[in-house]
Amino acid sequence: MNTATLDAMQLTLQVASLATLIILIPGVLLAYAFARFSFRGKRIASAIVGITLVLPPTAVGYLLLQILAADGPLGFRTIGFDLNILLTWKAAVVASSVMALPLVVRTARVAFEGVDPQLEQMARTLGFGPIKTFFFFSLPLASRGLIAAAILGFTRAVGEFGATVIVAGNIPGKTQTIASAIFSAQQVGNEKEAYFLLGLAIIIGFVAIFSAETLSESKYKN
Amino acid sequence: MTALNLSFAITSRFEGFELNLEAEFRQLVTGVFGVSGAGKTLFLRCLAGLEKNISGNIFFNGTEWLSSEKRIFLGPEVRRIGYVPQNGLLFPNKNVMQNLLIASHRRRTTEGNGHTAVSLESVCELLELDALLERPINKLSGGERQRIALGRAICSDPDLLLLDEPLAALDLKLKRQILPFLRRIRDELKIPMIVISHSPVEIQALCDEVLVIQNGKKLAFGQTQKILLSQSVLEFTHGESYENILPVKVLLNSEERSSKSGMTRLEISDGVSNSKSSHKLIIRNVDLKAGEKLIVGIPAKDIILATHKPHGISAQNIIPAFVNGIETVGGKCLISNVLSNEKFELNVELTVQGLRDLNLQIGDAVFLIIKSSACIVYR
Repeated sequence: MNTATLDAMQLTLQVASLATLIILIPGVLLAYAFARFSFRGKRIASAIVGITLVLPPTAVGYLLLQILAADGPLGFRTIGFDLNILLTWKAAVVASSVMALPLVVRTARVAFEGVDPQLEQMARTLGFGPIKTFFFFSLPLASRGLIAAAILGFTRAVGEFGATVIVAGNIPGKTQTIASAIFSAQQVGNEKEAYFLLGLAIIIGFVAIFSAETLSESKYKN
Repeated sequence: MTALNLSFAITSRFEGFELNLEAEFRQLVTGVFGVSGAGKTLFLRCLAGLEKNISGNIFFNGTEWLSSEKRIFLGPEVRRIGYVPQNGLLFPNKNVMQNLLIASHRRRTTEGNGHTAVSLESVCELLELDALLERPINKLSGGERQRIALGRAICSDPDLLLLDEPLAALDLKLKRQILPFLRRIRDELKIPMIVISHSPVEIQALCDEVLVIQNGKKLAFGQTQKILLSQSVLEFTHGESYENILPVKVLLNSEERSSKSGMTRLEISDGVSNSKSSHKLIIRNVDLKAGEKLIVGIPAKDIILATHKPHGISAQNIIPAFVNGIETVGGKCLISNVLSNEKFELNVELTVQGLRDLNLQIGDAVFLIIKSSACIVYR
């Protein structure tokens, strides 16, 4: 195993963890809003949040590139200073976050929808206001599904390639992740490394999906 | 001083159904009675603050819970109620103890409205929960769930208990077990209660006043016995025969009780009047302690009415009484009779033919004949 492969592994875990941390709180709040409240434009909002799930990842990458480019809405000519994101590992975090968010929101939404709203009403009658009810009742009751959401989001971030390669590139030791390293290994015909990375990806993916499935089976079903 | 001061005039719509009610509740325990689909649960949820689709006014002990004109809507968390829904709704991620503890949060952090707060220990004692405390929620029977849901509501130190069919989900045996717990809450804790039921027996055993709802509207409201025996109410409960409910005291303890006869002697007594003139009731042997107070139900159709004192009859109870009311509902007659000491009333169901044969008039002296096996003990 060469240092570039080790770097790719480390960077992948770092990027995926950060992306998961960034999207978890907004993702959970969005999921709760979608699961519990009816409001104007809910379907449109839900579609916007979910669209990266079905768009070609390269399309999302291209969109992010346009946004972060010098003349884009977040480019240095527009906001006056350089965020210095493109072609760095930070771009990989941004791309992974955007790509993983819908999966987190969907899974968390299902988790909240599985919580009997009458239990929340019960909590209200016992003297807990809406915010306390959310933290002391809704979150714990949905906790298994929420952990599953985080795991799936993390795994999606680990596997992100299309959007990442456009905004962060595929620079060994700098922005190369497991996904892009497999691509490079295949391109240059380095079978041994490709197989190693493939095995690694399968293990991470299997553990994640298996635990998410286990957690999704609600413990409290009557 | 009134036990409760709740007045309301509310309108609420739910999936094409309209609830429209206005009344004032002043008694410690008020029943809400009606067939299923009458709007009882919706009414209770309106009081609890769980229905947003509501207009009108609700006043509770000087506080405005709801006022459409003033745009006041107090959330359920500030109404200080103990809501016990039909399915109990225990928190499945907590065990029994944790369910009770989370409810105690309000008692520990805020001041109640007058009555003294009940400690978790005494709630456990009252409802006999001690053996269940460590159990997970999915390892509980229906009756246990109901008791814990009740206990949880009491632990939260409510100013008003709202009970939605506390006994409906239970089988007959469990019903007879829970009913006395509800009476204990009423008699020992004195927390005002509103109890939904579709069973006249429960309503009679618990409530001072009763509100009868039909199709979301008030059909009748007033003193329990009077309302339950009124023509309009009897008409729609006729599937279920009227059951007389009497408070009794056990006279003999187990040693004195003659095991040969296999009978237990009870005294019909509310614990207030003097016992000399009270009537006795003999029932089949059940494991009771002397002095124990309980209630006995006697279905109106299981009492025989005689105009002369019968001789040579196997029935154990022959109680002298006077006729004080005759009602005919749907081919059956309900004769209300005051027991000869004028303390208690027993209603007897007769056929129209039976009534005609006896030629009964109000004021007639009669004898009520009750088989010991017809008496149902609630404890």
